[in-house]
Amino acid sequence: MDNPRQSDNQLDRILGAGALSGPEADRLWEQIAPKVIQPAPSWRTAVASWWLRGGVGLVMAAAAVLVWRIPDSMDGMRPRGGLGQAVLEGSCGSPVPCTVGQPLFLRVTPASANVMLFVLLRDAQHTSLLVDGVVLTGGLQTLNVRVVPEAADAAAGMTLDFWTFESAPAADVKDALRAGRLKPQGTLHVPVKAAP
Amino acid sequence: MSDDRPWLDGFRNGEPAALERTFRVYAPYALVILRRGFTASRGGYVNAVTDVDLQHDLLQEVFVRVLSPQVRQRYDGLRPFSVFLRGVVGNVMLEEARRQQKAMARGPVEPVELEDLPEAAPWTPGTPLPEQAAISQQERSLMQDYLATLTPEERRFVGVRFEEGVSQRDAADALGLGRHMVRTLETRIREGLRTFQDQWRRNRPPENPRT
Repeated sequence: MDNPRQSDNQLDRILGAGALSGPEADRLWEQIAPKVIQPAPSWRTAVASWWLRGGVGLVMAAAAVLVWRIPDSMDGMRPRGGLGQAVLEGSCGSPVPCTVGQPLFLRVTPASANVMLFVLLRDAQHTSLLVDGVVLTGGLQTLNVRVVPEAADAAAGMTLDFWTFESAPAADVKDALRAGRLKPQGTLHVPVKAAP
Repeated sequence: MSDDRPWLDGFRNGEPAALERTFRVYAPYALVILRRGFTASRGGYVNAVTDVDLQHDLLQEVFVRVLSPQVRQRYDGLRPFSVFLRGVVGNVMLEEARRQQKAMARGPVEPVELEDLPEAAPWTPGTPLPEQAAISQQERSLMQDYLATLTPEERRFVGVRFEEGVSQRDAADALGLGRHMVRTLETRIREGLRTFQDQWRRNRPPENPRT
């Protein structure tokens, strides 16, 4: 009260009757968030490809529950500079198996920074390149991808093959990758059950 | 958080929404600890932090730590999150006290363990916080006089945005306002208080030094 020029925080605290006011909390979160939230994948140098499946859009990944983790061995599989030991993780918000219609989110931990990630989705009806050369900046990174299992997936589930490369792969390598002829560095199998 | 599985998993996975929710829900509780200080079980007292701006600095440090990947993974999800948070707040306060050389000489020099802090009952989100109203009688009196000058809509805004502490986004939703209007009102009310305070101080009776 003796301070002739009180800070916004002090005035907001008085207006909050002593509680942490909304403006204070907002200012704090603006400072904290950049330090604790992983940056989104960089799209500047990568070709981002978002695929639509079954009329459902691929959107920014939201809060999700990690339900399984399959670090596939990459022994003997380092295509053109691809780095081993990347880990692809999936989450559909509940224990496996995922339910038809329940979105699946993906995140990846690359073995090193600045590699390009490719993810091929194989399910009952499609084979499509889900992630097409997204540059991973290092550390755990959520992918801007959401996949919604369809009824046809309930029988055999979905399979996600993935590769990382230090630089953009040649066209023939990408063709082989799309066609499923290139051995994946890792595979994530997603069991799916019918909706109740 | 410990009994909310999606929240807990989102927190562990570093999902932005879960991290922000953790901050918004638990920041008021961390603030309570900051401004009342604590006695460690092994002896020593760490002073309460009374300066609002320093409280902000320390709150920021607390949540940068508690939301970092390394510290997040240390939360077992079994104990109440408030207990876990209390340990982090204690360490940040102790470091600040040491920095200012205000900690008592017999205070511990090693990091505070969870068990060191007074074992008050864990706080559960949604329940009243102890010592929530930590403004002086003068400030309370100022606030009441200032509120009396506001319109009913402005008073409702103060209640939602300042007293309840909701985010700008949620305040806009709750009050049916655009976010730009929320910002405008916020500034107007804050600056109004600044101006009103000057006049109020000039007009009030001399201060009793013991109050």
